[in-house]
Amino acid sequence: MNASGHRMGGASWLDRAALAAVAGALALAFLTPPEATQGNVARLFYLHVPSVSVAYMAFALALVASVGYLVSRRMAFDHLAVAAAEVGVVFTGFTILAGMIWAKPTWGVYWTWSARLTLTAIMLFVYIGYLALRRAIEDPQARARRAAIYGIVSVVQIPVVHFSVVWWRDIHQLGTVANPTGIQMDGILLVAFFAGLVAFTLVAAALVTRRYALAVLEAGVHDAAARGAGALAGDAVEAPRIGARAGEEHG
Amino acid sequence: MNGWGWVLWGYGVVAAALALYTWTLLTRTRAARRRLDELR
Amino acid sequence: MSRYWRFVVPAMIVLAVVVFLIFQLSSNLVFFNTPTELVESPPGTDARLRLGGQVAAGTVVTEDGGVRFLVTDGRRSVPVVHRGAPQQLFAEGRGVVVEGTYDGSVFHSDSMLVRHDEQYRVEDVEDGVYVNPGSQP
Repeated sequence: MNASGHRMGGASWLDRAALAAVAGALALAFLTPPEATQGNVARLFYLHVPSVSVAYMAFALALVASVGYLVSRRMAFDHLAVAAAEVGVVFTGFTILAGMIWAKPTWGVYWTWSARLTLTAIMLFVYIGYLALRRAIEDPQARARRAAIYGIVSVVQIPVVHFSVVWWRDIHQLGTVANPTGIQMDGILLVAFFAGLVAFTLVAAALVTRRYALAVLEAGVHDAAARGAGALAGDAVEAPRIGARAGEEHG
Repeated sequence: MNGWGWVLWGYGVVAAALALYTWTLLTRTRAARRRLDELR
Repeated sequence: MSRYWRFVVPAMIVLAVVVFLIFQLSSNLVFFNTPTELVESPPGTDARLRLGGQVAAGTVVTEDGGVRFLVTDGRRSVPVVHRGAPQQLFAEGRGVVVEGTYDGSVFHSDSMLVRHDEQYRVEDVEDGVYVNPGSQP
């Protein structure tokens, strides 16, 4: 993560790669032939399924970073965990939005309380809970530790979300690409899916990079504020007593 | 609404959500950098 | 104190939502009943439930204000009288989930969801090769 990539106003190589991949994925999503049963509306597949794949990846990254923090106690892992979890929440949101808009013209409703849909909504709110928990804890080390435990425990739901369509009867069909009997999609449509997956992976990587940089900045603000407060308190308390020595603390 | 209508609606909503998140990220970064400059 | 409330308020909201969602889940874990289940152990006539299966070929009859057809799971089939316009993707051989009541012989539906399978195919494919250059990009 080089610093020039984080400076505002400058797009990093990753930002550019993500934009180029999005343009390519959109072209494929709109120019490939329509699907035999659903027609053009099936193009929402190339939006909905890459979104949820990237959300799973982001939550898995949050898990790895959380374990990394607990093992090493390095704040860099905590910054990565919050970045990945927040981006995971965003992509879970994309999944649900695209899924609802796809469900209306195919199933006939925007939403129904089937296991897959309900579990996906639970996943969204559990990770919103992760972000809410972090806001409550002032001390960076305590926050990192508790968030890491939450981040590890909450990941158990992800296989449940994914396999819910296999375990229980659902309005939602089985996986198409991750299908136990092989990929259930014709080649040219599959190309559009993988283009979408690559594009959203790069977009997520660019967002995680920027969110990580923000976490570093926020930690810097916290440290600077703590130092500032310490220095001010030191001035106020010590200056009257041992005048000459005030200010040594941060010198 | 025909198939293309739903497709454009879906992609449009997600594009708007992505733009909104990116904007909040840049705004929060700018605010944090300004705060850090004030504190130094 | 402000930091405390900044956590407690969102946490209560998140907790309430998750509890609500888990209740929704527990009452919908079996999203629909199959025709076999319905025929072999019929529920009460006023119990509202979902029936899911395939629309049997050659059984769809469009009527005034609705449609009637057989829903089958390959073993048993149940006649369905659905009130309201069927979904766009409704067709013979497709999966449907209808919601309503079962009177012991006929399922009276007022809500229909159309399932589609996990297969995504292009039209006009021969041996896996797309053979309709007219509509190719």
